[in-house]
Amino acid sequence: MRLTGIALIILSFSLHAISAVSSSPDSLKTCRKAFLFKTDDYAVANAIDICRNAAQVPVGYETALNMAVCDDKLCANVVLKVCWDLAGNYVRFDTIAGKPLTKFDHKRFSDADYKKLDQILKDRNSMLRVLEKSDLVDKSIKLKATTVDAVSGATPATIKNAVVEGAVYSSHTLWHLVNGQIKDSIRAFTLRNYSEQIALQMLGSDNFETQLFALKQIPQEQYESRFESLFQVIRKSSPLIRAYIINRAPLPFRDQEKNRKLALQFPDLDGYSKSIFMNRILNDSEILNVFAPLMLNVLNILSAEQAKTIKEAIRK
Amino acid sequence: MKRVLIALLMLISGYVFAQNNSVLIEAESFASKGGWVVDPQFVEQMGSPYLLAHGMGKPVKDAETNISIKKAGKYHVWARTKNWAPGNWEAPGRFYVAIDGKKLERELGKNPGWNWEYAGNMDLSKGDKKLSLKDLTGFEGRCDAIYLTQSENEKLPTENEVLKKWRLAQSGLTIAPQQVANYDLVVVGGGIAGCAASIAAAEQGLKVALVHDRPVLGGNASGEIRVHTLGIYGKFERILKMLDTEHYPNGSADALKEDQKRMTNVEKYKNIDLFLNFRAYGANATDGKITSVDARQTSTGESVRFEAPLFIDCTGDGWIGYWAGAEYNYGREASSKYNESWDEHGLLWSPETADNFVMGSSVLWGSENAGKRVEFPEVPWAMDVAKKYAEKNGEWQWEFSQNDLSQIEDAETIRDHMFRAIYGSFYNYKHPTQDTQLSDKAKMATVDMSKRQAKVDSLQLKWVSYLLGKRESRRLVGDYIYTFNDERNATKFEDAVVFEKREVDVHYQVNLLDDEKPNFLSEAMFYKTDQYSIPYRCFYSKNISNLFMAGRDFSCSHVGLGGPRVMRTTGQMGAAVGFAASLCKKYNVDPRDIYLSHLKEYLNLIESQK
Repeated sequence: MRLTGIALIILSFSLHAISAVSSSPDSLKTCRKAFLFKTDDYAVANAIDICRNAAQVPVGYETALNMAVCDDKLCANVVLKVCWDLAGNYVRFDTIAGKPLTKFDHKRFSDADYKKLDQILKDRNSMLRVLEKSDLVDKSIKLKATTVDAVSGATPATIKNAVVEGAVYSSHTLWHLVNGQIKDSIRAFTLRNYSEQIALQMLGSDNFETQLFALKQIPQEQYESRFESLFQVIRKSSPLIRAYIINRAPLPFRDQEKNRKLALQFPDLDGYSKSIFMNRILNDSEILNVFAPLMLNVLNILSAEQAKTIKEAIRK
Repeated sequence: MKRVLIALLMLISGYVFAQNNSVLIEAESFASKGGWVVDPQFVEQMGSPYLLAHGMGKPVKDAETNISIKKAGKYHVWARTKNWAPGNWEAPGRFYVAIDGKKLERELGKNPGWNWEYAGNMDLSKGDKKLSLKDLTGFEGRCDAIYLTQSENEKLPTENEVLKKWRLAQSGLTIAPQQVANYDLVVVGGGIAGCAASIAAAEQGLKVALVHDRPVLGGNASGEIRVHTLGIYGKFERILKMLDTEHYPNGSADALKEDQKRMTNVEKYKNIDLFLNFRAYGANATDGKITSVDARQTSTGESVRFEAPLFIDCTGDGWIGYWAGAEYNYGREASSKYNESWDEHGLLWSPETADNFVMGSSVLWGSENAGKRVEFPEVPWAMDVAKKYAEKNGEWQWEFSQNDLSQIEDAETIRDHMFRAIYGSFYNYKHPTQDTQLSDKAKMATVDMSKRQAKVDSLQLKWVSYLLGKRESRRLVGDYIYTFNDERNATKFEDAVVFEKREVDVHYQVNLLDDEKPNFLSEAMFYKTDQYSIPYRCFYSKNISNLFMAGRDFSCSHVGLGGPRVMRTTGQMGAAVGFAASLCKKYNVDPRDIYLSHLKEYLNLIESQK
């Protein structure tokens, strides 16, 4: 009777797959096998595909997972398609038609559970990183399953936010799989196949780690010749990335127009990038000689305090 | 233990210094503080403890004191104060000065930056007068000093050094303290490390002075800051159980009970003299050796010189070492300096180039259901910081650091930034809009605004700390600098005295990755380790021969601090140096000699403490 019920539900779900992300931006992408990933931790070998967009530019990786996650046989295998970007950062998962995720006692994931799982997997600082599987359940509290004659531990209160409740093993296993060694394998594959197209794709990412991966491939002496694309990254990226580029750029540029353009951007920078920029100006007389006149006189873009600091540096 | 109380006339009548036609009153010396609190956190930057109207939005009761007017006539009244959130709005912390109940004409607290503000003038007869500070807002108005003068055009000093000398001249005091006290050991800072150090040394028979700038012990663990203690006990379970806390949520009022426990336990020791409300302001050193530390009572201004052969810097900010000329580090080292990079978190973990973006300071806070509708005033001066963020309490994630702000020199700016974050976010919580709703959804909670409204209406602020809970500041340099590698490799040390197995955990501000996010929230990154140990050589100064340090100012790198910065661990450090001090006395040697010549006996002494 129970099996029939499940079969009916599966039928109703098989009409569409569930995606953790509502829109699929890369519907025209094509994927083909890139490499085989195997880890002792999970005793599964997965074929990792690399995917390209319609213009045949690599955009990321994906794989179909089918893995056991429970110790107590109270939950079904996790069957999912998982996607990473070119730097091995988890992007999203899609369920496979007819294979919904389930929680303790075979309860299906709700929409909120799917969203929460997606957020958990995206959380690189999740406390799951330091938790062992044995930390996940409070064995002193037993939950009675209604469908199987067995019990399972309850979720300790302290980790409730870090997991989908009732699916702690799935949360833990998936987090470690998608954020674990596979990342290194993906990065290595990307590097082996690195190209200008991939570099631009990664620089334009909204993931700071992906941008950093690409930035680290750019030798400092190329910063000036690549100024336009790096300048766009500065304009659109997070403070961490902006500050990284400003810190690494071989200032002053030989081309004064580039210096002027960078200086002009100063007022729109965040506090961290501003402080890094200021430190570079204050700690290097060559940079000071170029940027001080630009910022003080020509562009007049400094606060009174910043102007005072720079004038003092000039006097010294 | 002897609680040191020195009865001075100043205690009763206020810290009042009258010259013929002028009177200077230090606000912190007011005989009755009313609802104002003494804030001594920023003395080194702005010159003095001051009174703070910490009413969480409700005006506090008047502070009052008596002054004696020697010569009748017209007096001009000035107050040294500050508009702590200047901008295009009314200053948040405004107040009046009143004499014998009559208000002077001008509202104060309007000047950006610490400075003298003119309060008005009044004809005064000869004799005693009652001087009052009348708070108008409950939002952190502040007053450092009041000055009455008959001179119409007196130019009051503003520059710090000039002001310092002027204050002394007005008061007839000297920089050198009036009293001298002698001890075997002087411990400065009464956080968990300082308490543990004092107990350990006292148990071994040393006569100890514990000098602490607050009325209660415990530092970040005290009921004034309310961070729970974490970490393991190592070899010092017995001592640390006298001082630590339960694992209640940070900010919990349960911290107050632990204050009582801690005080009772420290008071048991007859050979600890506890100097509460004394803030150290100088260390005198010659030839790389400290001879004395000077400290001043935070209300009365009374000063004491503490002389001893040995000193322990448990100030957190490493002030004793700094004043004595000890080598120290501040900031984040380049990852290459000690090879501390961790690919998993890359630049967030350690920068490629050294910078000052250290872990920040927290201000914990919370609200409660008042059981009835409670209004919370508009706080336009807070909204630049809080923006649309809405919250009703703040845990450790309420943390602020900026690359161009020093956790020491800019501490008042940092604390005030947190005030704006808290009051603004609480206002948003009480007055939700579509935008603030989004803030809540971002935390994965679906908010039903119609159901929430009644709960929100009755919310009131219960407690907001006005003391910064600092994580990181100066790190004094010892014979060994402890780094991340010692944690991840579990380096074995022959002189291991502190043990920990807590994850290495360093923080970054969330707006680093998204500048739309609040700049007053942080996230933690955890590196899981096996048990690691810290060598004794991290707990005495490399170049000041008789200085120990215990607490967050011990000898380590920025990332190295990430694991052992919690308070059971810093308590272990305190206990370890307290016992070392006892052997220094026994053999009449410096801290380094314990490592060089008496290590076995020292380790045996520690081993016997379990």
